[in-house]
Amino acid sequence: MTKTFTENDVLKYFYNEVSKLEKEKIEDFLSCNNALTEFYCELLTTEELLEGKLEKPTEKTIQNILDYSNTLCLQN
Amino acid sequence: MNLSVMDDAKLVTAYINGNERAFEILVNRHKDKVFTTIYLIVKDRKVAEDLMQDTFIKAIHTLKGGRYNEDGKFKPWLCRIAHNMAIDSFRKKQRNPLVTMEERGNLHNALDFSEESFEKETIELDTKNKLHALIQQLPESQRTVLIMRHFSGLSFKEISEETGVSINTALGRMRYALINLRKKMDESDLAYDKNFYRE
Repeated sequence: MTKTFTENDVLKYFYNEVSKLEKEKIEDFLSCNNALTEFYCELLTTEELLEGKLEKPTEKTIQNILDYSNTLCLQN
Repeated sequence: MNLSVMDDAKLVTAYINGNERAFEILVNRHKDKVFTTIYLIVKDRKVAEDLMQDTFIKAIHTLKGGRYNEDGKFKPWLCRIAHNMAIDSFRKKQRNPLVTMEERGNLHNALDFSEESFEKETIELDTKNKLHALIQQLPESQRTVLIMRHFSGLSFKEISEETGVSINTALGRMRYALINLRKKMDESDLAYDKNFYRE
């Protein structure tokens, strides 16, 4: 019997949280299920929207962290 | 050996063995995701900068103290430290509220005033602020899962353990978070803003 997948399964697939075997099965299922394929495409678009929007810390903060680590290194 | 192509686990080992350059690569590799995780929770750039330092200082002590045992899971481990610190700070702030300049909408607070890139940075910052405002509008349970999964990189299993819900509940919350966020983007026309897309 063919296994039916849900949006939760697609979500796990999207975030690479499925086994290799499950991955192949979901990909097969997606190829013949319009609703889940549409959901997957929505995930891809939303990911694209979110991915470019990371905040960046200042260089000073990064330098402080590296300096701290270096200081400990010198003490040991 | 070129350190920059090493995976996290190897860099962690190199750092524990005294290679400071390995740590520098780890910091630069994960700084933006860690910082965004913190910033989206505390909503204050200065506090986020401080917590970012505290997060890495805690990581440094654990690594150098020989207490690191998250083999192969450096990023989720680091993001979990950041998330917990940010939540602690946010809860303290809720008990002692203080309105900051940034919360009053001072756009210039976070800008590096380079004349050439001023306009571009202003547009990008504005777009980012709009997106983050939309994320803040999500119900807390959905927002938490979105931040933990998307920005912190925790797995749904790790999120379920951290938040005390089942994996299916965490998945459901993430699904609703993404659906609601997308709906809000469409309503505000941000999804059609070309600045939202990477070049």
